[in-house]
Amino acid sequence: MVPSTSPLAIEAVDLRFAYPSGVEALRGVNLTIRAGEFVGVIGQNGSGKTTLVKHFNGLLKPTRGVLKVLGVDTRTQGVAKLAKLAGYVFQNPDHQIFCNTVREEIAFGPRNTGMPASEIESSLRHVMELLDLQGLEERHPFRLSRGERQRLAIASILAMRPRILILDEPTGGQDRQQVSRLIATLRQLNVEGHTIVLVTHDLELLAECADRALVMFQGKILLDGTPHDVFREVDTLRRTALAPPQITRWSLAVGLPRLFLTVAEAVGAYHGEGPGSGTQ
Amino acid sequence: MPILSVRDLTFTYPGLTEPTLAGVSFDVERGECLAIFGAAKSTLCLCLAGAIPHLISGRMEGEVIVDGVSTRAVRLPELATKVGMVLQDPENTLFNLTLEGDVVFGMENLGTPREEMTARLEEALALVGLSGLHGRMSQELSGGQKQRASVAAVLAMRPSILILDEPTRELDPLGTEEVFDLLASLKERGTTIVIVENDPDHVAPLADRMLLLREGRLAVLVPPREFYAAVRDDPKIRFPQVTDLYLALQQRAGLEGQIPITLEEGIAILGPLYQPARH
Repeated sequence: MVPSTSPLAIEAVDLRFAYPSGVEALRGVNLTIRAGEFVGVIGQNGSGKTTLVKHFNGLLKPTRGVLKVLGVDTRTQGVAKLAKLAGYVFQNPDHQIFCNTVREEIAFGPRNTGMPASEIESSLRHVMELLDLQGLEERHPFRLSRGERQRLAIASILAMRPRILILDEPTGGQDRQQVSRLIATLRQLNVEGHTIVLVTHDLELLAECADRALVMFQGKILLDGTPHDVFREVDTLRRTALAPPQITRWSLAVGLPRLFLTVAEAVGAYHGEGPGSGTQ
Repeated sequence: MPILSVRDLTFTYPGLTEPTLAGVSFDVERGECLAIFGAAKSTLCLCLAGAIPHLISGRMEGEVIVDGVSTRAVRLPELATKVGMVLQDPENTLFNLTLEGDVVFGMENLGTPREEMTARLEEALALVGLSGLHGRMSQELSGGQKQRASVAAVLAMRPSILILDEPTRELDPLGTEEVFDLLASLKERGTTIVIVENDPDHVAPLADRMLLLREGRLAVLVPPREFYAAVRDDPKIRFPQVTDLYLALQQRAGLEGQIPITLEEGIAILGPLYQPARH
């Protein structure tokens, strides 16, 4: 639990954004995220969730309203300065990756933000280990698997050591084992003090790691609370065509007093009171 | 006779010494839905669709026989009436201006007569629930509509088998629901489906059998219930959460018999374990 005295990582006041086509993607978002929080942002395509988080590192600037990152108004700063505060990992790694080797790809960002060479090397080694990419330094990124490219995309953002890490659907093309590892990595980064914003359709993934869930709907925040509170709002979620994890729907259907967000919770709550344990 | 027969299929990509697929053999019956898991699943799909050996270089041994015809023996246009493949990203299938243009594109290339084409266009759009949207610009469609449109474009060529490689990877939950509802209705009509899909909530109720490739070899090929039991120690495979819970409690709760693989089964089988003890 992040204390309420923790500094503000993100502050949005009546944030509005319209694309040049006139489509209003954000229609008045008020939000504060404190440093050290792990926030999941969910919603359908077109709900405004990607537009929202692209404001967090200045990739988009508000049409109206204010967006501050660690106290800095994004309209007053260039992307390079903001990149040190908040790093955005693209949904499709191929939209982000462009260097000829894994090493160059990871070193590109830190070099551009003016990190000294000696620090770049240690940052590189750290993120390669963290994202399980050791031994692939000289490989061409397009000869990596989709899962490896996804991890490379994360590594090259992390190498800039942003205080806030924003990830847009980071689990594409990864098997269950790789997803578990990614979850462990994100949790570790969170414990080390990074603020994490995770945009995802995968409510199972959110349940595994986030402390707070934001549901976006038609350019506004519809629900904001702990995953337990948000997943309980089944009817509201259905209106936005989101379904809680199967185990959550199961615990609701069975009529349990407590909602399970993960299988581990359900396993931990089993005390053998049911049929089949009568002999104990 | 099976609609699809894979015989001792081995495929090696250029420059590699080890084959990516090694000695894979299996049959798929007409109207069956087969789900494929494991490494090299996309390569297997490419072989089933004839993209290997026709478009992708490498050394293919063995045989893929679709509806009585070896994929080696016919050219791709003829093969397109036997196997239709739906790509991960509908944007790669839809490149005409309108929905109608995208759906008739394949048929035009096959030289389908005009009246026949109109009839099939109507039928394909109806099947995927997009009737009346002929003139709609493809870019105005939602993600789910786009993927349904690309299924329509493939169905219009009347293939004997529909192959889908992660058809919902680029879709949101709503679009994913739409595509799986469509696949369920196609299956009911007797369409043979081969699918790569990791989301167990959707694939477990749809598939008749599940196939796991390990190191390019066929490791498991059984119905879903047995599949999840057989691969319970495989860390890479995502299970339906009720299946996960069942397997985790199996010993402690002394569970025997049917493993749940859908929410409904989970409620029936696991619900009683969590009811308060009776006095």
